[in-house]
Amino acid sequence: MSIIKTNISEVKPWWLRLIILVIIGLPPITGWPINEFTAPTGTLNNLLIWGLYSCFIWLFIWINMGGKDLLKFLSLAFFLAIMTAFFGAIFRYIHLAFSNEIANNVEKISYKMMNIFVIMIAVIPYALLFISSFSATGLVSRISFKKSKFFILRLHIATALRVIQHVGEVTNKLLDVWQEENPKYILPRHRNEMELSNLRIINWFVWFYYAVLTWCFALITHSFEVIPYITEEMRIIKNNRILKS
Amino acid sequence: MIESKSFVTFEDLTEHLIVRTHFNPPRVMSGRKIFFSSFSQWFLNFDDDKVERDWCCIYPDPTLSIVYPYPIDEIAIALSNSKNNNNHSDCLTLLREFGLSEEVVSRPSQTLSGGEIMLLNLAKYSILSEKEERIIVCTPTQWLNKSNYHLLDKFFSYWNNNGNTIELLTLEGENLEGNIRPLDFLKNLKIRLKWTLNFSNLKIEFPKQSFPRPTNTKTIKYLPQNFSFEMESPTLIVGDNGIGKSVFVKMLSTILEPTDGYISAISAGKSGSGRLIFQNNVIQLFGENITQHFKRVFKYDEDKYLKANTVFQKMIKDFQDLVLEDENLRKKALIMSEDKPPTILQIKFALIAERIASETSILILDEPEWLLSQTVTEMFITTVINNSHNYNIPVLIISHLEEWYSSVKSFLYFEYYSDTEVIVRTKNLSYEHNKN
Repeated sequence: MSIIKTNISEVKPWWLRLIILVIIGLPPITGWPINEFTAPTGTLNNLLIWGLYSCFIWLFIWINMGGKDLLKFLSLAFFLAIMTAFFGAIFRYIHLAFSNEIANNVEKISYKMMNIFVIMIAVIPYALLFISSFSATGLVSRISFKKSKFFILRLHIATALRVIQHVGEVTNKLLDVWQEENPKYILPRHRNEMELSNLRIINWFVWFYYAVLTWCFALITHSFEVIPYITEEMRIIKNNRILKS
Repeated sequence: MIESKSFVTFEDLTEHLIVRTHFNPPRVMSGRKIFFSSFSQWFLNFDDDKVERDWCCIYPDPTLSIVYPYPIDEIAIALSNSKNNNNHSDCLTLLREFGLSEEVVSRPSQTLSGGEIMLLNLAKYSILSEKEERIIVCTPTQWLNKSNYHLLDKFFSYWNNNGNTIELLTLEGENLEGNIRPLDFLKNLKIRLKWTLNFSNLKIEFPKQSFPRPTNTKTIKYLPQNFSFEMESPTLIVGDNGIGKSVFVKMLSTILEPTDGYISAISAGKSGSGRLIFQNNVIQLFGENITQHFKRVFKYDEDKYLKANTVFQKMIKDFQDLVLEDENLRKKALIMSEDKPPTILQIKFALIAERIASETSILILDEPEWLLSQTVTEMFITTVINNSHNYNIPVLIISHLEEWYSSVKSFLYFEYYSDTEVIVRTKNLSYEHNKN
């Protein structure tokens, strides 16, 4: 496969890159053309078509970014998709159980959740590829010295893009911290009581629930932490390029 | 013109910075609740047009001044601010001038070591000396190896030549001239402890990347091939910025897996891995406050929860006892009550207590003096070593402030042997030798 040397982030001009990515992402964005081949009620056919689309997206990412990055994206996508499908199904079953409609809807819920699962494992890697394909640096360096009506808008877009990209960097740092704290990743380091308990599976779920919550809050706080500093950097750019030019 | 100001605590330095700049960003170390409320306050009060700024700043945590994903981007943008062009070779020349090789700057900024991040800041802000009037530089020697202090002088000359003002904010004990008082923590050391470091064929390889930009493979091989050496605790690791000290201890604490070979520490007759306190250790609280952190980490181990709390309280008490002997420090708010945001010192003690309770083979402190003045570091290190030794846990310290730790008996020196090889040399001094 060494003959294929494509890198979407190097496609220039930027709007051509945007068009290519939008075309590739049309199914999750607009539903077209996948909706032409799928049934509204949800069948195995739908799952197969979305599965095929996922394979196409993965192949595209593999060609562009290589196997290691694809695996990273997939592990995140599968994790989030499993969580959403699992907890989504539980909540729906509970809701229907109260209204005594569960018997007629079991199959429907299963299909719905599987559909969400397959769509998520395609859309999440695609979204990550999309974000990584544009450079906040490029955007900032192209901002002209003269005040234009798009100057502030571009600074805001650059700030937003950089903050989103920064989430990936924070994730890497937190992974190091998490591994130091919990070398087995999905088991707590200190688990004496969990292992001795008869309710160890329930205890593990409780621990896992808090671990996910902790991760979410840590990701948000550490990603938000840089926003004021990035804003100050943009203020330097604004000062230098407008006020002092 | 250089205006220097020295502070005894990081909290005093931060307070001064806020008064000076009116820039008061939310801090993660305060815990989630306070963070989100101060973030929303910052967000609502932020007015891009109203606030006049006449300063730029290298913050106490210099990673926060690095905005773009690659080092070359920082320089390119800074150059484009002043010259309307950002020639690639100009960027590389400037980075080389500040001791950053082409190999280093091709890597993403987040993979650079703390010292390299500080050097990148110096390179970036030297360009801005043409346009900005004033720069505030916070605690530079806490990141730079002594061999790179001349680059700090070079940075100052950029600003001086343009007739600008440099505000140098340091913590007591930081000294660019080299007149450094060694920390005197061994006089209070109650228990002596030995440990053995073993490694064999130790090698780590960071694979090359192809997206969004290509980077080269980075390999570090640690020599000698077979290393086994008994050392005295505390042991000090010394070496140049970016040589691979932090990578080494990350392998010892199983955060990174060696591509080849193995590494372990033997203490109290058992072999195992270590637990690491990062230089920038606030992130190790995972956005929680100390109470929330202990509750989550020890949710299923009540014994260790109690042990960690006991060690934490004991360390705070030992530290406060030492503070009582110092007239200056007695007045400072170094330890806050539970209802207030913790100080950086309390966070360090809490993280260390958690590691001591986990009965690790060795406690590793990466630049423990970060954000602490020398006097506070002296008391902090004394307290940590005594408490750690009480539980038979040796302490390994990484620091580039070798002079501060000149009373330490065991050293590991990291030196370049070739581009990809680092040789680890040892030095053991006997207590008698040191007395003389």
